[in-house]
Amino acid sequence: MNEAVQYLLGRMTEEERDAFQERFFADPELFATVESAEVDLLDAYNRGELNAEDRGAVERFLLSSEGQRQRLLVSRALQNHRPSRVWQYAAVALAALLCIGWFSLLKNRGASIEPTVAEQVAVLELPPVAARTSAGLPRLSTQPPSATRLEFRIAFSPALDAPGLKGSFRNGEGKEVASAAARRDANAFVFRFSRGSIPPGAYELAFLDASGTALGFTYFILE
Amino acid sequence: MALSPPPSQEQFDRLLQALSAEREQAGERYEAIRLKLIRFFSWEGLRDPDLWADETLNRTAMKLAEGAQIEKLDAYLFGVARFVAKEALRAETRETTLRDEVELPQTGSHLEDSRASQCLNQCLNSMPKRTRDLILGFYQGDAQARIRNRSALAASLNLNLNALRNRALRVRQNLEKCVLSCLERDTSRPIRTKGDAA
Repeated sequence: MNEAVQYLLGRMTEEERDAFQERFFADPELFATVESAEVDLLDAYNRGELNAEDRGAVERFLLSSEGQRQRLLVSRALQNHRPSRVWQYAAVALAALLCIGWFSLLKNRGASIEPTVAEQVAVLELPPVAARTSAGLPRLSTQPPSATRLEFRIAFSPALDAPGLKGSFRNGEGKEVASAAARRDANAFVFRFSRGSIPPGAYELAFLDASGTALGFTYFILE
Repeated sequence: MALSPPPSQEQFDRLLQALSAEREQAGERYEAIRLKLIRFFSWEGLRDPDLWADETLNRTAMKLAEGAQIEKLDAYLFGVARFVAKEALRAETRETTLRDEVELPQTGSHLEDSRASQCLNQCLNSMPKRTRDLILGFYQGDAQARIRNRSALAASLNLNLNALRNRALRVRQNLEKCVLSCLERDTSRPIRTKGDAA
């Protein structure tokens, strides 16, 4: 790697340079090492980790062309990339939308979150998307305790209204425990399962569109 | 420095034929060699690596058209590339001296950075999660974090550091290609800002 850096920073004599070129053209592994060293130098340049001399050499030898300057742009974007930022924005937006839907749902139902009992079905109102609060996860209790089926409901939101919407229920280890296609009624998305499919525990529910892209998440503990 | 004329279709076909009897495979090899040449001319500090890569390929195509029997085409091409680099360096040095100016690298405007960042997100999101985790884990963070991340990644993938580096490099090259072509597509399209009408 050191030899590659010396080459890239123009610190070889002409004879050494010629010999090194001959070697890396004949040896794909060595060529890849030089490519890798180049990427590391561009990243280090972006992060300001190079001393003035190395910085000058990178500018002179590696940043002469427009194409290389574009690669520097990619390097900078990669350094500044925050993987979760997009999802954070999306989650905040979805949470805001769903909060509105959630409260209007409560209002329509007479501000009651008591599950209705019908044919031994426990109706469980899910918290809005991204509702993971500092107070801990919301707890949902199965009422009546003898229910044989669970019906999870989440307030309708246009942001989740994708064709083929599916709910993936994942346990604390991120493993999918159950999944089902969403049914839609007047003001909610509904997922139904037999009681045994979703044992008590902490869950992440991911809302997936037909291509498997996650549109939002919500979290809860099933008691 | 006088550039070779572009090869005729027949000369170009002969070069492809020499690369592989199968047309599709020949096309792929041509592209791979061209990219390798561009990388090499970049390392040589030349201002227009694409131009010199094409010059190398054109000279080789002409040589083949003259009926030269070239046994090891890759080795021949890279030999030509080294000559071309020396000539090009002399020509560019002379040109720079005559113009008495040196171009400094552009640091990139906020708009460029913003476009690059949008394109990067698009490209990362189109990758499988494991690949995305690999590239972010391998290239992000300060020096200490990178050392730790790389060791942990190598252990988790059951690879040695060299193999991991090669894998990360390939992913990085594909990512660069994706971001650069996205930037190229977007060049003429203004970025929508908050105040723009939908």
